Parts: sequence; structure tokens; C-alpha cells
Amino acid sequence: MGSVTLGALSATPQQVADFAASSGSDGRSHLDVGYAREQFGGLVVQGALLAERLLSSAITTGVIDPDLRGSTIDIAFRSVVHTGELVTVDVQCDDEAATIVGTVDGNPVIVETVWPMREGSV
Amino acid sequence: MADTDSPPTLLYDDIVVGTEYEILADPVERDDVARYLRACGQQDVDLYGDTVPPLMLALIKYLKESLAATWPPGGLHAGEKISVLDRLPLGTPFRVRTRVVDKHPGRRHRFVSFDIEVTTEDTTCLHISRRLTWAA
Repeated sequence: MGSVTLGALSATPQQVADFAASSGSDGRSHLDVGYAREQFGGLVVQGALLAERLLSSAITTGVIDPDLRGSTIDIAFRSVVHTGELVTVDVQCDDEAATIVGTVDGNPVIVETVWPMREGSV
Repeated sequence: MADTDSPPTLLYDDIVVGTEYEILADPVERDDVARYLRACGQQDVDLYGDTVPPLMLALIKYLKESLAATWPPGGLHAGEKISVLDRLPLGTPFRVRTRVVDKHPGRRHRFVSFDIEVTTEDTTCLHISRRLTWAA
């Protein structure tokens, strides 16, 4: 199967603040505009928010079963995503795994791979 | 005077490899899951049925609670691997056990790695390997 686009997402500063309140991802890179601009070029969307959005998109569209027992979810954060940036979500499945990739302007920013757990992998 | 209500900030130099931490976390209820999924932009808040979303159990708040500390500013996730061994039903008490497994300074970034286990009385739900990074 080739790569299928599931959609696109972005997060506003308010959504990042709401997520911070419920998740504990409340560092200055997410909430302090002046600090985030100086250090990262703008407010940073939480990696955990992006990871759930990608996984939820794949579940909602039926690519991945919500009963994830026996699965390993490998998440690699390649670069920060700023509020307002549009992240395109693509998924590719083969016999081994489902790989969900978020890209900004064609560059991967998060790669989430869901595969069956291998014996002895924990 | 120090604010005794605020947890201390855990500095890189204070992190000791091999240290273990453990907490008994509050059960996650349906409303908590709905709030979490809505904050993520997910409209279907029943997506995971009567169980807690695995990535919700991997939230940084549980790591912070188990360490009883906040992070220095600028800390970011570098990556994580989450093995889903069992589902956690809503309303079930669970423990979060955290062990510092590695830390090393780099030229541009410093890294700290944790192994985290989420368990109930009956089963192990998740095993998480997490790597965090700060600018050096």
C-alpha cells in the first residue's frame, strides 16, 4: 500500500494552553511567548498533543484498531512544530507496521510507527 | 521565602542514573479522557471505549509527579517507545514506576533517558522508554 493522506492539523496557542493544563506539558516553550520566540522561533506545540492527534486520526479512519494491546508505538520527534503551522498527516501500512508521518512544508516533524510487539522487546 | 507549594526544579546535574521513583496515581475517569482528547482536537471522545488511551498514560505529568519535580525550561521530547501490554479500564488505580537509565551531555544538547512502567494490582499496562533533551 502506498502512502495515504489522512488530513492536516494545526494547533492554536489556546489549544496548546488547554493541553498544557490537562497534560502537564506546561513548559515555557509552550506557554511563554517571549521565551519561545527567542529560543524556538515561536510557541511550540507539545509533542504529546501531536502524537495523540496522529494516532487518533489513524484510529478514526480505521487504519489502526483502538485496542492497541500487543503493540509497540515508536515516536520520533524530528523538529519542533509551532502554533499555526499546518501539519500534513500521512500513513503507510505494510505487513510489518503502520507508519504515520506528520510533515510541515514537506519535512517530517514527527514519525509514529505502530507495530506488533516482538517477543523479548520489553 | 521559598514557595513551599511549588515542586523543586530538577536540574540536569541533580539527575542520578539508577534512581527509581514510584507513585500511586489517581484513577482516570471518563471526563478526564474527554478533556484530554478534546484538548488534542479529537471530537470522538469515546474513541478508546471504557479504557484509558495509552498515550494519555504516557503523559509527562505522570513522570513529573513520580519525580515530584518540574523540569528546567526548554526541555523537549526527543522520542519515546511505548509498549502496550494491557488496557487500563477507566476508574482503575495504577502505579507509575520511573527509573533513570541514562544521561549524557552532548555538544549542543543534553539527554536524559527514563524507563517508565504503568501497572495495576493485576497487570502491567505499559512500558515506556522516553528520552528528553535540553539545550546544552
